[in-house]
Amino acid sequence: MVRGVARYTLAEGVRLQSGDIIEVGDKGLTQMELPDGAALALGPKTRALAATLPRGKQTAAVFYVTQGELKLAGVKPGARLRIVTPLITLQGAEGATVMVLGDAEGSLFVESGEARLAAPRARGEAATTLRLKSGEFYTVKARQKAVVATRPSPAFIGALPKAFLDPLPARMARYKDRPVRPQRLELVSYAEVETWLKAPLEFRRPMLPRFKSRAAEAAFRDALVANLHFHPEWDPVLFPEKYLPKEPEGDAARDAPAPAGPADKR
Amino acid sequence: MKLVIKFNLVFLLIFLIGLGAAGFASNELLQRNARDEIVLNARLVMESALATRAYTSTQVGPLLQTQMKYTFLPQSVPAYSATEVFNGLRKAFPDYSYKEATLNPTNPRNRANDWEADIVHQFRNATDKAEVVGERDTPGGKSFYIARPIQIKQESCLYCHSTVDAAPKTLVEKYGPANGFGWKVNEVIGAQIVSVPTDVPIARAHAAFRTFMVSLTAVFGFIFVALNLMLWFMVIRPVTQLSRFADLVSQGDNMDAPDFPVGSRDEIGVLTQSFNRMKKSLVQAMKMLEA
Repeated sequence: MVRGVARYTLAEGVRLQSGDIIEVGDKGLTQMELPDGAALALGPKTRALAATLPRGKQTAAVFYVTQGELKLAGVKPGARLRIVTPLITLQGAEGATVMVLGDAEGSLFVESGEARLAAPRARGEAATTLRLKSGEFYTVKARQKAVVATRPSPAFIGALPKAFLDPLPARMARYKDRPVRPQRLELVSYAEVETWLKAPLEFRRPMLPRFKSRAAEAAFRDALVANLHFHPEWDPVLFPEKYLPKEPEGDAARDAPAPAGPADKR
Repeated sequence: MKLVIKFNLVFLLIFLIGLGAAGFASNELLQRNARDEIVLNARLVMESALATRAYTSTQVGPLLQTQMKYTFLPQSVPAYSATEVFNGLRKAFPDYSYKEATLNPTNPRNRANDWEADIVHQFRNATDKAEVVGERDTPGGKSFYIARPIQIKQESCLYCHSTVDAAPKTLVEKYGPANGFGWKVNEVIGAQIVSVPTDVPIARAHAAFRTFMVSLTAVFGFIFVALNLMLWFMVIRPVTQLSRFADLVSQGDNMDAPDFPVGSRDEIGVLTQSFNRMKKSLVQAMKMLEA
């Protein structure tokens, strides 16, 4: 888990905080439970960011998941919970929903209840919501039209962790009065948070103040500079001199002793 | 006819009558026990199957409900679990069989064959019939069967078996849309049939009967020999010797000989004492006549 600017060893019972980044090991399984009874399970090799983002006048819990398998269950009607992935955006779900996210393909199965997806749209089209009923299976591939089927594919079922085929067990009550502290490891490198620094703007924007202190480290800064076009919001942090207030033109012409150096051109 | 022959003839007659009566009674008892054992075994298998069905229906099935939304798991079906449990049992008892013979089954392995279909039709024609028992010849020998009807008593059973559209998609995906649909409430759709071999218990009864008869004959033989020896040493030989001694005395010989030895205090001994007394009286009478 990445919390703040450091890596931590995740243990059962750790309280989740907004901004936590969860990375599940090759054979691991992680479950996050929310106070309203909703549970989100992550399969092996799954990476997710827990965030609290504004939604209208209120805030909503949002999980940004880049890859892997996840199961969302126990979401109550009207709950402000979203799952955002590079291919699928789950706007809301009641019952249980399972997703498998590959590099270029994402699939979603409504195990029970209903799921509402932000339907893919062409440029200029208004946003619409796609409602999926219990038993329906949604597949979308990069740059292809999404398909809804009445049954999940065998490949999808085969990719799921066995535990996802059963109801998610509630474990939070065991740790209600027994908080568990994660063990702090070392500071994160750029490579370890690269995915999140390159995430969609709504998720990567909070990364700037969070990892600003890490930019002081040469290796981290060099990586930020090398990938600046993925996260241009870092430019003022990396090159503050470019954003210094400009002096009045007359005064500047009079007072400026020399033209700008090479650093200004970067 | 000599005493020993008369005695042995009577003894043999009693022996034969006793052996016959004991043999008949024991054979009847052993055969009845064997039949009872066969029926008990069949009922035990049937009750085990029913218990497995109930366990699957009430405990296993609900646990697999979520998984059933992904893949149809026959392990959640009572008929499947009962058959599978019994298949495990068959590894140790290969001649036993259990089948939920169904006329229109979802799983093709449950399809009733000819003789099973006859039984199912018996239940369909007489819905109040609770059980059918019988015996049939099989390649492995005679087999006793006990059958009970499978009747749809709950509407919930039709969740999987009414129509293809109403059935779980995973079920249709696994078994196809052709079979196992169109069932109705109160319809007898099949029969649970347990078959157990009769040869083994019957053979065991025969073996027990043979052992019993041989043992009984051996005991009779031993008694026969023992009685004959006792008869010879305790009755025939002393009586013969006394008789020979009496013959000599009656012919006037052995008048001066000592008394015949009294070997025992039983009736033969008393007879010998009486004879010796009689001989003494005869000797005295003879002496008085001579004087």
